[in-house]
Amino acid sequence: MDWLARIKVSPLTPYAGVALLAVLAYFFPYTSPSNKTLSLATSVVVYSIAASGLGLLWGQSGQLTLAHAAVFGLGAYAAALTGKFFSLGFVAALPVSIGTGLLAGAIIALPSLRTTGHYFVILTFAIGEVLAVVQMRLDWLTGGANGTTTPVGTQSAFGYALGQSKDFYSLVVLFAAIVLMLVCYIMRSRWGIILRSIRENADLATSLGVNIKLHRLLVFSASGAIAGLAGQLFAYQVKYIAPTLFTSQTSILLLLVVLLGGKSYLLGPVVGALVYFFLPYAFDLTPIQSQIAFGAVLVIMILLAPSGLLGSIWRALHRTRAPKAGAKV
Amino acid sequence: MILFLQHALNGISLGAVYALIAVGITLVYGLSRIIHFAVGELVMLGAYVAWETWRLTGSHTVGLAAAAAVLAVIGMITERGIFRFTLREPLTGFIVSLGLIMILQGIGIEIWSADPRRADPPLAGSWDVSGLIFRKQVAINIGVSLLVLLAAYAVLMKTRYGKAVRAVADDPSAAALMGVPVRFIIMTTFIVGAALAGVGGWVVLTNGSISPFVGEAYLLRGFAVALIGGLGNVQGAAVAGVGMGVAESLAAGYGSPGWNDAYVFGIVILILLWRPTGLGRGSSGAHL
Repeated sequence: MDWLARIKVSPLTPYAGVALLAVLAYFFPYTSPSNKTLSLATSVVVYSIAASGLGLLWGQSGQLTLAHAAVFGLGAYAAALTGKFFSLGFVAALPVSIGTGLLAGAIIALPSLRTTGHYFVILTFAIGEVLAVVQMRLDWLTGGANGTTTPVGTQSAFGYALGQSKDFYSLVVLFAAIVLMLVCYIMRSRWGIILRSIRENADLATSLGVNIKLHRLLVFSASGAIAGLAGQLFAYQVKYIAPTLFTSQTSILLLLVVLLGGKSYLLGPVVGALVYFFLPYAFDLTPIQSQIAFGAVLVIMILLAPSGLLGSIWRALHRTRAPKAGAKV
Repeated sequence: MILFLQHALNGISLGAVYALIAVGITLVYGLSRIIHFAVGELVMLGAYVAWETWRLTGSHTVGLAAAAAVLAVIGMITERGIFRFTLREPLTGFIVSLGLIMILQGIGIEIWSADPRRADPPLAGSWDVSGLIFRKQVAINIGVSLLVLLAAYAVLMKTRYGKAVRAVADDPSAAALMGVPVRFIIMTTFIVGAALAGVGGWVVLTNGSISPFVGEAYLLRGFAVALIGGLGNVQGAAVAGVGMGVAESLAAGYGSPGWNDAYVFGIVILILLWRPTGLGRGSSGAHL
C-alpha cells in the first residue's frame, strides 16, 4: 500500500493518537453503557496500565518476568493498607503505591544482575509466589486469605468521585493516557534505543559501552512503578483485595494481554486488554471456558503470531512477506 | 527423636513424588532446553486418570498403569502438536507451557469440578515400630517411586536408547552426525517426562485427596528440586527430591505449615542467588 508509506509521520503523531484515543475512551460513559460494560471497560483500562509496565520491560528490554502481578499486588496493598491504617486518601496514597512498585521492581531486578534467561524467569516466579504467601500469612496486616477492603467511602480525587463508577472510569482513563504517553516518550527516547539494543543483543550492547546492569535496574523500576500505580487503581476499583488476585496466574494473564496485542507496540497492552475482557463477554463464556480458550490463544499466538495482533495487522498493511532480520518480534 | 524420625519419614514419601516430577523436568530441559511449566498440571491429570480408573475397576494397580500410559500419550501429543515447533526458541516453549497450564487446569475443572476427590488407599493400616507410625501406603508409594526412578536410571545408563539420550543432551549436532535421530529422542523425553508425572499423580492420589489445583504446588516443588539438583542432572534431581521432601516436612513439623511455600521458594531464591545456574552439575550444559 503505497499511500501508507507516503504519509509523513510527525514525531508528535503517537502522542496525538494516544490523546485522541483517550478522549474517545473518556466520553465512552456518555453512550450510557450498562454497569457491566462500564466495569469491564474500567478493568480494560486498569489492566492496560499494568500491562504497559510489562510491555516496557518485556517488549522493549526483552526481559520476561513472572513477578509482575506480585508488584501489581504490592501497589494495591500499599494503597489499601495506608488508607486503612493511616487513612491516607487516594491522592496521598499515590506516591506510596508508585514508590512501593518502583522499589519492588528494583529489588526483583537485583538478582537479574547475576542470573539471566530461564533461571531468572524461575526466580521471578519464586519471588512472586513468596510474596503471595507473605500476603496470605501476615494476617494482622493484610487480613490474610480474607483480604482487605479499600476505604473508598465518599472520597473524591481531582474532582472525580471515586465511589461513582462513571467518575472513576474517567479518572482511570486520564491515568492511562499519562502512562501511555510516558511509555511512548521512553520508547522514542535514547533510552528506548538502549533498551532495545539490550533486547536484541546484550553482548553487543555491552561491547558498545551500554551498562546493561544499570539499565536493567532502571527499566525494572520504571515497570514496577507503573504496576504499582495500576495496583492502586485496581484496589480502588474492586474495593476489596485478597492474595489470590495476585498469584502467578495473574502474571500469566498479564503476559497473555501483552502478547495478544503485540509486546513491542505502545498500544499492544490496550488491544490485548480489550480482547481479553470483551471476548468472553461477547461469546458469553464462563470463566473456566474463557480460561481454556485464552490458554489456547496464548499457545497459538506465540507460535503463529509472536508479534501480536498489532504486529500482524502492521505486516498485513505493509504486505511484507517475511519479517526482516531484526524486525520487531 | 521419635518425632524427628516421624517427620523425616513423612518427608521421604513427599520427596519421592518431587523426585519423579523433577526427573521428568530435568530430562525435558536437558534435551530440549524447554522449561516445561505445565508439568504440575500433568501430575493433576495423572491423579485424575488414576482416580477414574480406580472408580471403574476398583484396582489401584490398573490405575497406576493407566495414569502412566495416558500421560505418556498426552506427552506425545503435546510434543508432536506444539513443543516440537518451539525447539529453536526454548523461551517460546516456556510460554507455550504457560498456556498449557491454563488449558489443562480449565479442562480439569470442567470435567471433575473444583471439589476435592479421594480414593480409598490400596493398603490401609500402619506399622508401629516403637512409637514410629509407618503407614503401609507410604511404604508402597516410596517403593513404587523408587522402582520407577531406578528403572529410568537403568534405561538411561545401560541401554542403547539411554546412550542416545545422553548423547543428545551432551551435543545434539554431534549426536545427529553419529546417526542418532535427535528429534525422535527429544520426543521420547517428553513422553517419559509426562509418564513420570503420571506416576507422581498416582502417588498424590493414594497419599490423600486431589483437586484440579494440586498442580501448582507440585510444579513449584518439582522445579525447586530440579534446580537444586542442577537442571539436566537426573541423579541430582532424585537426591534433591528426597532432600526437599524431608526438609519441607521438618520445617512444617517444627515451624508453621502455612509458611511452607515461602520456605520452598526462599530456598530456590537463595540457591539461584548463590549459584546463578542452580546447584549440582547442571550449570552450563546438560549432564545426565
